[in-house]
Amino acid sequence: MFPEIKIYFEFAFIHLNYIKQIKMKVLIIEDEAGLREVVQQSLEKEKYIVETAHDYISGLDKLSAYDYDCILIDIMLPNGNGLDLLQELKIQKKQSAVIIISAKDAVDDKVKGLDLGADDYLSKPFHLSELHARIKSAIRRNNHNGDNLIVWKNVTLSPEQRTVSIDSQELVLNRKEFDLLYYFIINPNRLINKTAIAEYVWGDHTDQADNLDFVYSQIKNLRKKLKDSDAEIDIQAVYGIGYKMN
Amino acid sequence: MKLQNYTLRYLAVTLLLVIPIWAGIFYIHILEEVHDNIDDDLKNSKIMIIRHVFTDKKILNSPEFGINKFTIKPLPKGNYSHKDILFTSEEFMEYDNENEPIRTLKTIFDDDKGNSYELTIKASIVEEDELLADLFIALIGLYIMLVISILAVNHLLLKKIWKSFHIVLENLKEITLGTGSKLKPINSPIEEFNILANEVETMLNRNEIIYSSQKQFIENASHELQTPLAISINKLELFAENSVLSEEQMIEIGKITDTLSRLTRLNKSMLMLSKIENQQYSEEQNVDFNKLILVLKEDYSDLAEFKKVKITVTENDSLHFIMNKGLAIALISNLLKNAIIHNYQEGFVNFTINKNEISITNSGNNFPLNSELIYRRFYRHTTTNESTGLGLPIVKSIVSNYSITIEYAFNYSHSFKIKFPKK
Repeated sequence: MFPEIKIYFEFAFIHLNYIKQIKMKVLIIEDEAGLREVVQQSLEKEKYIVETAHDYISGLDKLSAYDYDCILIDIMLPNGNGLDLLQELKIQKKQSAVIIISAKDAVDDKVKGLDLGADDYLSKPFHLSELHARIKSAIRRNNHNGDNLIVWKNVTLSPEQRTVSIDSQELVLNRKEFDLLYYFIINPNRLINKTAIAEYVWGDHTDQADNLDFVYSQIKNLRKKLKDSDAEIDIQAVYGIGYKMN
Repeated sequence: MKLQNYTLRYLAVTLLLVIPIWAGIFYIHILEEVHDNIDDDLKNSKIMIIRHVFTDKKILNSPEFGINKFTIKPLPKGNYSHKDILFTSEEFMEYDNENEPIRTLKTIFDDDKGNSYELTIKASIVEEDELLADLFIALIGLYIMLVISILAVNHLLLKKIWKSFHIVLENLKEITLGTGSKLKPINSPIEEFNILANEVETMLNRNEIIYSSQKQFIENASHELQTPLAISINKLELFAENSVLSEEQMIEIGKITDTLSRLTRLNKSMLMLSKIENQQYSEEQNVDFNKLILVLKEDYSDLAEFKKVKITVTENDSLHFIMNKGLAIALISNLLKNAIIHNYQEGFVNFTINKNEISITNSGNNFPLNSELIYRRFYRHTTTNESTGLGLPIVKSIVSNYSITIEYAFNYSHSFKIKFPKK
């Protein structure tokens, strides 16, 4: 094989991803100004083009007039229900990925929303890192273009096949280690709260676990494995808050 | 003491007092009436005798107290009072062979020639002691009859009348707020009981409304808190990410985030608790507890490994139960989580699955928990400020939703036994 070509390809991949990210358009339909604002700021930092709507009518206007890669919809909206917007999207045959954001984590709403074609359901309060992870995977799944590799420096990760390779050398990780790495790679350069990590990897019920110290030891293992295989990934502990990957 | 017997007791005592008083008055009254009658009779006889004397002088020589029961005695000349004198005395009677009471009228009259005579008329009167005895026996009879009839009336009539009242009592006993308990109708002929039943029903409905709106309020409040919590957490995250902060400042932000996370946990637990109580986890399925426990054991393996706690599962039987899957998970995971956290290094957690029964035993503190208090909301037996104090209350309310029972026992290890109803 020609390593130059491989490097070239990977370079192109990164480049492609970058361009793709620039183009990503997200619509936030949320009535709470504070939440709208913070989500917008956080998404803009990731180079998304963000538009917002504060109620049902303006939301309907925007999603009918433009095409978005991803739409975040709050269920409870002034003068309407977010679920009806989903219906509208279906009627207009829009291809956007949709994530429902709701204060109610009622199973009913969740099932109804997913039945109406939503890609994901996120209940408030959530961590920004979790929102990013959800948006990215919703867009990725929505684009249906097969195995969409995620590349970070010399690390390539396949979310579908759940494999990781470093410099085209496969690295074997267990389920939790993979989930951890995926979460870091999908949230590069972000400060990730340890609770967010615990919730993502260990599931919902750990959010009630009183002690998150066990997360540290898992991350320590992952760091060691990455270091041993020369991955150019540096997971730093940010004391008191969580972690950051540069 | 039952109402029936209670009234009977008071009536019996009252009758015992009232009847003798009444009898005394009655006796005096009758006796007076009898004396009055005899006196009238004697006075009448006197008028007839005196009239007779004027037509038939022979009477003046009538023998002393013969069958006529009167005597006339000539008196020497003089001025006499013509007033009637009446008195009671006793006289021996041959027939009875004892002294009998006698009423006597003495008077003085003048014949046409101006001679004065003394007239004495006697009549026997009632024997008071016999009358008294007769009356006494009659009264005892009356008393017994009255008490028996009251007893009978109490038993038959009152039972019938109070029947509707007892239905109201039964209704009150069976009321549990929040379960939508219905009251049995009473249809009483007695207005007061109907009013009572109506009032009970109105009160119940009112309380039912207050209760459900209160429960609804907790749920709504928890929901409403989610968005401000989301804003605060996210703003802090963004702030920490965007600013160049010193390590101390980062640590402070971390502490605030942790506190907000705790608030989120608390809020979620409260929401879950109120949703369990509002029976909003209605979707049910056949839950395989053996499988569930093994999955949760795996989920918590990292936490357990970190705490160096060994989890073992002993399956003596398979256990299936129809309930909400999410609640089944919450039930087992809350207990498992507690068992891991309130443990010591190199400790153990032991699941035993039997027929209709799961027990979870763990090593830990050498003091038994207070089984009265552990299911109380916000009760903490340790001072860890990380715990929400709602874990076991959630367990308790899940359990009582499905008529499952839970028991705590301490035998140098802590043990919770969950007993499922037999199929």
